[in-house]
Amino acid sequence: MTTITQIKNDPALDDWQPLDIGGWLRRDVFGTVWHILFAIILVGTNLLVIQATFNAAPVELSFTLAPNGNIGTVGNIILALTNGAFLTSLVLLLWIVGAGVVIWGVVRHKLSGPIQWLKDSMYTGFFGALTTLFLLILIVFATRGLLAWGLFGANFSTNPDAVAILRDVTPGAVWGIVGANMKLFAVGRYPYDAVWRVWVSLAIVIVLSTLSLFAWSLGSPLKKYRPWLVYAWLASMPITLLLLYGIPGTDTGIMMTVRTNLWGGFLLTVVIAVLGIVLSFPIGLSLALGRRSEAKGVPMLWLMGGGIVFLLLYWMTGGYPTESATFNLPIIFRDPPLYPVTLTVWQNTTLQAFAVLGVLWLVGYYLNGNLIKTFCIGYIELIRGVPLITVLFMANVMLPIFLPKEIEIDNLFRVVVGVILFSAAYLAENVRGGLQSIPKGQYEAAMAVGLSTSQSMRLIILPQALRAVIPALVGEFIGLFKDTSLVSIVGLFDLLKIAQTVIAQPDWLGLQRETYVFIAFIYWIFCFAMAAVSIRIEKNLGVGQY
Amino acid sequence: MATTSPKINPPAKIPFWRDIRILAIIAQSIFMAAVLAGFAWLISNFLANAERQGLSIGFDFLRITAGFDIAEGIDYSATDTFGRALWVGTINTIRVSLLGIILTTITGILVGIARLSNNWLLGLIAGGYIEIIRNVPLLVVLYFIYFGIVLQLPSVDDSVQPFGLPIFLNQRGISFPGLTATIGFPIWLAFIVLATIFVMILWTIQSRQEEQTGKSINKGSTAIVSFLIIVAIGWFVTGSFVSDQGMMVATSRNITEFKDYQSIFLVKIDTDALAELGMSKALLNQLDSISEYKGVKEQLYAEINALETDGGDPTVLQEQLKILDSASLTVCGEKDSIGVINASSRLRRLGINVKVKDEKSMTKASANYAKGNCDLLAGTQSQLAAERSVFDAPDAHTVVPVSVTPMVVNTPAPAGFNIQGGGRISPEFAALLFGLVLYTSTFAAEIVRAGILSVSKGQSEAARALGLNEGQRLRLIVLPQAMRVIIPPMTSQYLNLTKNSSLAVAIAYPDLVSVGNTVLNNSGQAVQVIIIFMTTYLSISLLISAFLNWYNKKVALVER
Repeated sequence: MTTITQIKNDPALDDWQPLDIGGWLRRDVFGTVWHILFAIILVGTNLLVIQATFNAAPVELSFTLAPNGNIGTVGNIILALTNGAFLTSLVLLLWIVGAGVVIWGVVRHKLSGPIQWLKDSMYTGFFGALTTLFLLILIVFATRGLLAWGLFGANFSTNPDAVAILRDVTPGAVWGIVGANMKLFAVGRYPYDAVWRVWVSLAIVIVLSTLSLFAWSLGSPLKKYRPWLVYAWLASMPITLLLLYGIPGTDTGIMMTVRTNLWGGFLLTVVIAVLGIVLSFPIGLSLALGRRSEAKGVPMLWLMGGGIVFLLLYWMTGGYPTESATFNLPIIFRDPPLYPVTLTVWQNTTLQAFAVLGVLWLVGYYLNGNLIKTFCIGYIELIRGVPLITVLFMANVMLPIFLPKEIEIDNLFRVVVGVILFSAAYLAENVRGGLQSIPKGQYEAAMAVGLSTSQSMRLIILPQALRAVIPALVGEFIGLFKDTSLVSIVGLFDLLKIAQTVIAQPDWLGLQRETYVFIAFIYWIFCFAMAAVSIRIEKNLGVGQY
Repeated sequence: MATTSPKINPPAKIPFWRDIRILAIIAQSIFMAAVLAGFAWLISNFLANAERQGLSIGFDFLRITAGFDIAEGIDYSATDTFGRALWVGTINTIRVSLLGIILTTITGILVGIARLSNNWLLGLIAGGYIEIIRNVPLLVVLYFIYFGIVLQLPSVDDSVQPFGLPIFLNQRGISFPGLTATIGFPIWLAFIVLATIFVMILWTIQSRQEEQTGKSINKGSTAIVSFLIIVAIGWFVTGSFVSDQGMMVATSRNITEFKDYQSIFLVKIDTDALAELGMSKALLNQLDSISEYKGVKEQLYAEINALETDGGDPTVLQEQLKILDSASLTVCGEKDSIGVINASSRLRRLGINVKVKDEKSMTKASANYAKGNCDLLAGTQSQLAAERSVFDAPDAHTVVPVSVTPMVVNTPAPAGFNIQGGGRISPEFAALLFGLVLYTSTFAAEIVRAGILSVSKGQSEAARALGLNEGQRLRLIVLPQAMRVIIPPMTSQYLNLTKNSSLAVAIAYPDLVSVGNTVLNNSGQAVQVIIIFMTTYLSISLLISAFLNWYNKKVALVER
């Protein structure tokens, strides 16, 4: 007689499993189907790419090699090498040889250094090898197309007539537009007679930079001159600005005034970026310190009292609502409004009182009534929440409206103010990050040795905090350098705006790609170099290594 | 009683002008007073200047008629208000930002993973892309894409068709097949809801089973397959039983379905003109079926190419091709109605050239049809029956019922100087979206890479030791842990993308800043418009960061 226990222990029942349809689908059906599909797609794309590139035409290159139309032996060899069919066959052959070498190595269990590398990084399995083939062909032909356009088929003549005549032989890029307008790209409409002043300014900056590089490298004999260099840097700003602008009011002579509307090109880009970052630094620093301020705040009672006084003053000076007001949402709903909201005088008054007192209550409750902190948080978050272009519009359009009509402001000045206001908020956040990274013990130690608040900040905290954020500050400067291109939208002739005017020249119509590629290259060089310098500084200072 | 407790001096009272707490409060009050005074000064200047220039102060100008057109976006016309115009701009900003965020996330993850790939070439390409693009200003990238690529596309006549798909690239934008819902769509939607509920129930049952037996069941595959089966059944059932569409044709033509039009179309080819141009009899006789028609066209293309490479004159052949192309059926109906979209798309898929003559109303379309201008009139069966009843000779025309699927593919096709039908992306939108995604993806990819590298190697090794494959390792072990590191910096990239979409003003895509700029110039209300800019962007930024903070809290490591 079988008991329940026996049934439970029956080995036949233990093997029983519910029908695993999902698992079967995944392993046996989808797994296979997926792999086959993947293989078909990869092989198919490879075949398509091979076929397309095999039929690609040879690259036009005759002009640059020989102006008389006879391309010579070297030219013929290069022409043959850039033939689509030849290149494709070459790539295929290389790929097959590589695959063969790897397979041979695997079969013999002998994988020397390069073959091991080939197996690990190019022939990782069946799909990996196919991907490699696809990417190889893609890279080879992208490079070929780029060279055909930018080098072999390009025309470097700065004479527009010559370019027009030779258009059939050199169908690629026309780099003459860059060469012919080099001065515009560099300094804009800055007068020829005064360009030497730009050179002098540049020389000052280069000399100072070189000296600084020496002075701040380890074990330098120039170490004792570091403070002097700092003073020199500080003095160099007004001196270069004076050099660039000239003596105000003089129209002739070597130091004649060059108004800022004549500044342009790369010069203007650099001026805006440098002024922006240097002048926004003190503001950013103050904002960061303000945001971290832990000073005792204004008590809630004072706040509420101030709020009530403000409301009373506001109402007494004519702000009191005298009639009911109707609000609607004309933005979303069209006129006539679908859902108008009418507020009586009393409702309106209450709303105003609640709004003012409510905000003050929030400040008192969450920020302990710290008004400076409130202001700094409000400023930083407001600026960081809006795009730079709106800040520039604001500086450009609103500054004249918000200042007395007697004050006339220069366009460049307005934009620089906008850039400073913008960059200060971002700098403040970077500096705050640095301040947060300083352990509390440093503050306490500074206090213990009897330093005052300002002394401990100046001598203990800031040197460490700023050192920690130097990479972030360089990153910020790179961002600002790129963002200066936006000033072209508000009418300043920076590098990008100059590019647009150059494209519109009747001699060089329709050369957008060449011009934009050129200025993209300029921006790229400088940003890349600055990023490299930042990494170097990071290493020299040992940031992040304690 | 003698007191033993020591005598404590009351603490010396600090005079309030030396009490640091009181000083701090006074300093802050003075600071705030100075800030407020500064604001008051600025505002008084503004009021004076506004009065001098005759500007109004409130936001009443939002109710003034705008009087300018906006190229794309939600329903708007020049007679609408400034407020409405700004709203259209805001919606456009949100549209491009949302799409941009989605695409940036996808490309960012792909490129970030690609940069870490075993494949050296893939890593090289991903690295090169990142290093090149992120060191160039976004505005330059945008200009290059817009002026250097999008506007350099061929004109409408020579539209580029990648791989022969029904996608057309030209100076006026990108046309692609779109989907239009028909009368059966709600019923099909009900099937989708049903399928979702069914899948959820199935999932719960299987989860319970998993817990009880301890064996893993592939819930995902089962769910997807059963969902697809139910939805497909719904599609066919709805398609064959629910339709209100019909087409009106001349009774004499004996037409019962769209296929019957092939012969009518072939008759329309001007064989006399072709013969005059010297097309051979054999070729002409071939033109008796659609496939032969296509074959003849391909043959002509090949001959023209051959002639061009040999330096011959292909004009005659090109004329012949033109005649072949000019043969077409005319579909009449209401503008943008499902009937027209359905009829023209299905005829096009049969290989028939279609010309659409659409009118604002059915009455006009039917008048057009009565004049004999159209081969068929498309619309709902009731509409067509009503129109037929007022014809002079109703019996000469029949209304043929047409079945429609719950959604109709709206295929674009070249027609004259334009591309007809389908969805369309404007060049500005395409350039802006592409530029934003291209630029922001580089930063997103670096964030993803850093996130993946932050997951310790042991985790990957453990996953491999458990027998997970590479995809599973990435999906189940690495990415969930990397997410915690990825999300905070990714949030700021999303915010950057949204803010950078304001560069649309440079290439005239009508986003908030672009429209606002026009409003500002037309109304002169600079301050108010800029306040609207700032509040809108601030709200969008706060919304995005609030959402991502919520998500971040969900995925964050719970620390003790």
